[in-house]
Amino acid sequence: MGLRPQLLLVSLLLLSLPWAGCEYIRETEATLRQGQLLATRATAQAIANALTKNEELVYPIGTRKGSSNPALHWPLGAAEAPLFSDGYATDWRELTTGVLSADDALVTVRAASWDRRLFLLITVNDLSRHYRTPYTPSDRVELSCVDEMGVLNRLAVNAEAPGPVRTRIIGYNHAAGNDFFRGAWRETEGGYTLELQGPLGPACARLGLRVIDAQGSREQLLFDLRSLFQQEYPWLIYQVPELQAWLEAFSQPGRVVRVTDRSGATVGRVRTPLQDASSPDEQVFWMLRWIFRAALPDPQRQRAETENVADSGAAIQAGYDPASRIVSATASIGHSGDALGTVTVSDPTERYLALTDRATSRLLGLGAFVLATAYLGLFAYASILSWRIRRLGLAAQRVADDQLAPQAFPRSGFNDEVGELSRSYADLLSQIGDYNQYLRSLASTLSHELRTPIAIIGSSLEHLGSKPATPARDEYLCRAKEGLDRLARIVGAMSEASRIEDSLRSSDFEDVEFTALLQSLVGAYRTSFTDHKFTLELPAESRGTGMAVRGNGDLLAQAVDKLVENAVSFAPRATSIILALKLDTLAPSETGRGTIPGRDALCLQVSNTGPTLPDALRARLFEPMVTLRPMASDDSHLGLGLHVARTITESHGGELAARNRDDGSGVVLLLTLPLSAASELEASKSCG
Amino acid sequence: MSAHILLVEDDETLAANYRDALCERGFTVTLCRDRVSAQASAEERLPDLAIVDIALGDDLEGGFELCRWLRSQSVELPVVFLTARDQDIDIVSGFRLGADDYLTKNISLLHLQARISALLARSRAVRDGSNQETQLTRGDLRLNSERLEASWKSEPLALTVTEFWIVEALARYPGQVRSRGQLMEAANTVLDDSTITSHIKRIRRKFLEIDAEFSALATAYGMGYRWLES
Repeated sequence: MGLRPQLLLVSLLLLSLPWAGCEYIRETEATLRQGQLLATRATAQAIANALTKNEELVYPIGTRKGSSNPALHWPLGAAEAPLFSDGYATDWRELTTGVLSADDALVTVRAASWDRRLFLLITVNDLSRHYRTPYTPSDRVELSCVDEMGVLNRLAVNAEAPGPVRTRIIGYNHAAGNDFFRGAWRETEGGYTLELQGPLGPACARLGLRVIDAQGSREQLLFDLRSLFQQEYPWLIYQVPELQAWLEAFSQPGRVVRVTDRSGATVGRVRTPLQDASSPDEQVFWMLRWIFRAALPDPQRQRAETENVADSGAAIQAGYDPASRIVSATASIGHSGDALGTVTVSDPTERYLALTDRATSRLLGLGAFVLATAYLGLFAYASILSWRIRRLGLAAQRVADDQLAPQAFPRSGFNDEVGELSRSYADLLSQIGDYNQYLRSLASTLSHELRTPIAIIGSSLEHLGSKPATPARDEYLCRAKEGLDRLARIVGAMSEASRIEDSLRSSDFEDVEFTALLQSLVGAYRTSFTDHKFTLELPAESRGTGMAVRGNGDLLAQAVDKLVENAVSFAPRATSIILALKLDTLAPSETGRGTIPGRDALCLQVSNTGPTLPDALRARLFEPMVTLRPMASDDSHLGLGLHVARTITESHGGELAARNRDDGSGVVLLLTLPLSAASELEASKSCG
Repeated sequence: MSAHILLVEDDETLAANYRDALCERGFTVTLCRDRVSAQASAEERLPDLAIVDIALGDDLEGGFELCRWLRSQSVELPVVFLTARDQDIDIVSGFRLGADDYLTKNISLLHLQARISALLARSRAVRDGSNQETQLTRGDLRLNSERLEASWKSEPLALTVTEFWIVEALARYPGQVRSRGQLMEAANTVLDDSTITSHIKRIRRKFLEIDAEFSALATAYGMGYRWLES
């Protein structure tokens, strides 16, 4: 994996940035909610404390405080507006509370309150409608109003005809109380409907209601409200207008304040509609909002938070409902142990959610921008870095391939680690270069230094040889001379390479007919290396002519000598060494070492059977002091022969290469030399 | 009277060996270790022949200096370099300074003795004007093996002893290939192949200076050289 993908991978860590942002937003949101929870709790507490001091707001009818049995309470529906007591049920549709009916469902009673007014809707299934006449009993509804002091007033409604009706007080045939309740009587398909309204409050704290059906001369009780309330007149539980008005002071958009009495019945409820506080451009697109809320699964959102605080005796309960996203607090009214009721304040968290949505949205946008910038920056940085490192590697490779002098190694001017690395490389390479130079000169220096001691030994031995002989002396003398000769050969070989370089500098180049040179050389090899056979293969198209090479014949012959000597030393006895000459094009070589590309060239392949070249050695084969031979096998080989051959070849603009035979049976050394201009001319003439 | 040889060599052991070898041949040898003492000795008495090492102790070019000085003292005095240096540049410098021969230290004592004798014989022949006819004529080439003199198309060739012997060995049997080994033997020396090659190169150049058309000395690659009769 390259440096760039690695860095990109590492930069994935940047993704933790938006994550951290989300965490932060979540944290903020939790804090906001906590704050709201506290505020809501404080509000609930304040309301409860205030109500404790003004308990008449909760209990406008003082006597009701004594009744804490919910079974005797009849909560009325809370009407939003005064109802028209016109006998039609149209305006009752939205009211669902305060509905009562007996098991036989013959009569349904609905009750509602609005601003100290009681509204009743009585629906009776009675096909035999009997209106009031002076002589016969009629269908009627009897109301029993119990005031706060427990005084019972009985009222009756029986219509003379469909239309407006009034109550009359039973027992007192008295006109004064006739409009105590008024309303309308309407016939319906299955019977009749009676809608009434009357006062609510101390005058009518409890209510009784009976529906009586007249059948001929008999009367039948169709419905008695008391049968549903343990044969008692139920307390009318309604939302106290004074309390409502008082609670308005605590209203806030979206807030619901509910006050219940001791029995748990709601006596006050204020609900302020949630206005769209945020302007449209501040609002987050619904789909984004949905994504944010789904993508930010707040663990705290998923969990209802509830805390109970026993604060100065009054129990307060505050909590958060994640489903409806509502924060609510409930505080009890009254002193501890004597709770008069509770106050519940509910606040929506939508406002804060909208805030966090906006923050998330902004964070997302900003995060995307930062991420993109950071990625681009990192990518550019990684590209530059990897380019620099690649350039360094390439330069090192080129130095290793000898295409670049170690001194020309680019030294980076950057003051960072890569620059440091580059400079270290340059230093290292130049040291290696010096070392190589030292190795190259070592042979000639050493041979020079060894020559005098060898001469001393040699001349001493010669003197010894001319002294009177003893039998043993001659033998040892002979051995010493042998060793000395060997030493001298080694020294000669060592100095040869450097001498070649010298003579290359001073020699004049001329056109050398390479085929003739080869033929002559092969003739010589056949006589000097009698253990091996020699085969010379010349190209068919120009046998003998047109193969001139610009150079020094002696040196070229010496180069070929070295190749053949190398081949002979590796080839087993009696095998044949093949010298094949081919016309070739000197390809622009990969190494570009001393070659002139694009010139026609000839290629001499010296091929022998024998051990193959290990890959590791192939590139270094032509370096001085590199040899494949086991150290002990031959005394005078220092691996200089092929180095000499390469030196000569390169000075002639050619190149020397080695490869294994295709079938792995041996080694081929390839000597490629450019043809001289004259012979190229000749070749083109003969071709044309 | 035995010939007087000035041997200038900084290595005592080697110098002693050479001195002994030359003394065995009946030469009188004066041994000097550096240029100053050699000059003092030569001023006192000019030797018949000088053998000079190039590097004299710390004086790496001392031999060259000495050769130039000796040549200024006497044009005819044979000066032979005997040195460990076998670089072409040294050989060329040596000859340019007027040396009569350039030997490397791997020469055997026998060969050294032969060289010295030949050089002394030549200078004696030149001095005495002896005209003993040991002439060899091959076409335009004339060789006098007594005086080690050669001429091409009647123009005298300034050949060193080694060069003379190589030319003589080749020209004696025209057309035949003489291997490098044979040439070394003829020149009373042991040289490596490339030194023979540079000798041949120098010989060719000397001929070419006289005759730009010269091509009698041919290379038989891998085998040696031969003299071609025009």
